[in-house]
Amino acid sequence: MNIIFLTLGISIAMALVFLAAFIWATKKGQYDDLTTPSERMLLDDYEIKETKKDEKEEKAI
Amino acid sequence: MINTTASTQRISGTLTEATHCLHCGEELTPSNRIFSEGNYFCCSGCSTVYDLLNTLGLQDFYKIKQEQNIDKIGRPIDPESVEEYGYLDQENFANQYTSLEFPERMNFYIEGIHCGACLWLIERISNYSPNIKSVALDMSTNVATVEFDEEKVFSSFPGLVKRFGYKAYPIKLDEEAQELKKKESRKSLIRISVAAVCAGNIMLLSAAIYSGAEGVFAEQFGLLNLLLSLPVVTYCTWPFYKSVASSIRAKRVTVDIPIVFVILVGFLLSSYNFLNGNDQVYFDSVTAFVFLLLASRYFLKSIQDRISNKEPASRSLFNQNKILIWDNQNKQFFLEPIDNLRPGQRVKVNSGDRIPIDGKLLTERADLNLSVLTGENIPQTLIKNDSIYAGSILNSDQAIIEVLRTGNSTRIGKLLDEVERNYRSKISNSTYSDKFATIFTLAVGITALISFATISTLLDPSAALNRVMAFVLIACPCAFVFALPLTFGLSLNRAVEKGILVKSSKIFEKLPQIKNIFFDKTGTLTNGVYKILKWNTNILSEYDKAAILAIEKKSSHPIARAIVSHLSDLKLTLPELTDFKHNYTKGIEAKVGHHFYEILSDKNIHHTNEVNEIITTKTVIKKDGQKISELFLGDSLKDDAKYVVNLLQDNGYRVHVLSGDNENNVKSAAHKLGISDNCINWSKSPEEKAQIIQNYQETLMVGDGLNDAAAFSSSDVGVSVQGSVEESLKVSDSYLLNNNLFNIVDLLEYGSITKNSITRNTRFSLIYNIAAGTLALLGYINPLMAAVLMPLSSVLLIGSSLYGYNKLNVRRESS
Repeated sequence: MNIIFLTLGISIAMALVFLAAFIWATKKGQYDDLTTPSERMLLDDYEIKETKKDEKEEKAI
Repeated sequence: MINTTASTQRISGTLTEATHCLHCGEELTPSNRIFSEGNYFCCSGCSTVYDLLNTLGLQDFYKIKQEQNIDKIGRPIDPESVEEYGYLDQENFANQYTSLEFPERMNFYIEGIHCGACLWLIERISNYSPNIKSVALDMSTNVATVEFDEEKVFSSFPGLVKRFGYKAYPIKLDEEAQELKKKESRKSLIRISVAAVCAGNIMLLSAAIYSGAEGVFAEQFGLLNLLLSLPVVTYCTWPFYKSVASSIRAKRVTVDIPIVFVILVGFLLSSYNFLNGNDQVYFDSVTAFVFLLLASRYFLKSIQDRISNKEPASRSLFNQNKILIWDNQNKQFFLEPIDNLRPGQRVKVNSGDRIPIDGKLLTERADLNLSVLTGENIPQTLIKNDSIYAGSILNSDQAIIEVLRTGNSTRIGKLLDEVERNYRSKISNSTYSDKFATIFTLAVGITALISFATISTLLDPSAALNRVMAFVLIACPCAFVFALPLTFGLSLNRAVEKGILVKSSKIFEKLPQIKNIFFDKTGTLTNGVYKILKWNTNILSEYDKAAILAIEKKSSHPIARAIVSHLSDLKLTLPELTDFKHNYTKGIEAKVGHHFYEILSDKNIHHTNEVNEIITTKTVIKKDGQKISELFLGDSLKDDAKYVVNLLQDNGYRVHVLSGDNENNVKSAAHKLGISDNCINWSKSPEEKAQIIQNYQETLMVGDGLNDAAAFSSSDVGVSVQGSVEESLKVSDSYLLNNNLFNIVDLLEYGSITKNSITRNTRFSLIYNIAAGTLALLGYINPLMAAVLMPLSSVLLIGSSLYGYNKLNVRRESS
């Protein structure tokens, strides 16, 4: 039954690893803006249609 | 080619191309419709942006809009109206808006962001300029963070954005405050995660103990539980200890006290029992409770932040953000954000602008409308070196002003700031919820003590402790305490957003009872401006017009003012006058060349069938004794007056008119609005107005400032639409900054939502706390269940507070 202590140790270690990952992500600011990314990912499929390069430059600037 | 009937109709709520502008979705009428390359638009701005997006390959903008079900977006701004952004590239200016750390990054506030389609568009802008590396937009604040290349051509971004129909201006973020807030929020997230990990593991280990682990296992598992609880009751609970310490210092009973009590007692008792080999341990309950509590508080905080993050009230008064500032080096005026202004600088203000600063007039003379400060609508003429106060509107051509005070230190800024601080502080310790919570918390404490004594004599102390802990967890009125200020906060926030200033949140409790609504006429239902309603000037020769203008320029009578403003656009050269004579009762006369002109007012009043016009005076112009022209002058109803009055009537309110004006004018106005005869009151003095209101119950008075002070005080709720903010808020409960009557409908709506929400929350928490509390004392709910139920009920009540507002948003969007 001593195997239980091993599994227990592993499970707590895993929990700590995930906790560390979460703390890292938080400190990196991944949870700072929760509104925009959710919109942004819906827009990935839309593309800028091909236009002639020089026309683009000329029109834009 | 043009199908006029189809273009004015909206077919069963769906959009067809011919009825709505292809770009912005604005409804098309024959007058505002333009046709360009096979598509219909409401204005050339929309058409230009549409063409541009198509040329640049950005036509997916419309696909996104359609897929997100966005019918209507704001009209694009006219690029011509936006000044050049060249000043952004000057080094001394750029330095203020970039940080040392990121010299190539600038933040812009973008006006006109509505939906995901805008987000998509703005973030793709970097593809069209070699100077912009990337754009990231935060939709909750409408702030775009833009990275530029080494050349640092900061003007390229707003220049491009304006061509897409948005307006961008650089902003200086209060980085220190923002950083602090971010850190705080990250810290709470980490606290939550630590609590979650510990509580989860404790739960599993406890499961083993409950299912019969014995001997060395029980001992080791128990020890692990104790160790895992330690960070929870220290690190994670730390903010609660701090809050309790400060509330004890302030001698206040708060809901955090029973919470901390339960956590500490639970943990210490469990540790004691465990070390003494007793199996009465609550590590699982305590940690699960802390986790859920932190999570629900975090949720609440993020909602509150979103509420309080909004622009201050003074912003809604000064809708312009930039001003022409004199630059000494370049010897010219540059348009710069108002926030940049420093005392001593010179600014140029254009006609019609609201002056954003207190200062000293440097121009020889200027006409200013000071109504926000004084309540007087007639412009006043100021001369060089006179003091000018923020909030006044420039009526004459242009004025140069030396800045003395800016922003919140101006007279009006101080005032708005105070009003706002006042009601913001009132939300945070709303007396009603405070009292309720204190009594409730005390009641819970006393019941807990009595129950503990009773149950421990009847059964045994450990069972008593079990039940009392569950009881305290479940019955403390946390949920209610959080939900109530949130409800008021939401209402106030919506109100400020719409330009409605509210003196105290109490009015939201009174508003739902209103049955009778009284409107003052002049300046409230009408524009309060005397102007020419009908005048056929085509039959007059240029010579006559010039003569009339020259004569009227000599007079300061309201009729003369109206005529002058009507004719001054024509750029006439004024002839010389002789024999000018002012006859106050009849009119004026003068000689121009060989002709003798008379401008006389006719006392007989005429009324028209025109929807919004109330004609009060007819003026006749005579040349050498012959009548050559006649004109009608008067006040006109506000554009939305009829709509608002009818809407209120449809919703079951009785709408009255109270006016000091004569019978004819009042009746004519009231009939046009569809107000029935027995609700019309004319020729009333302020005292009489107050008396009439007293004859009714549940009254709301809408009027203009001081003039209606007596009426405001005798009504249940007073709303002023005009006059000075300071005076108005002394006598009335609310002030409409934008002079927009529809805000009354908004206000009533917020009132009923607030009321519903409070009733719902109070009922729910009373029933829930008493029912669940009783069950806990009877032993049907164990501490673990209670630990889960309590934070859940908080989340439920917060959701209930938000619910009414979300419904409002949905309704607004669909209508």
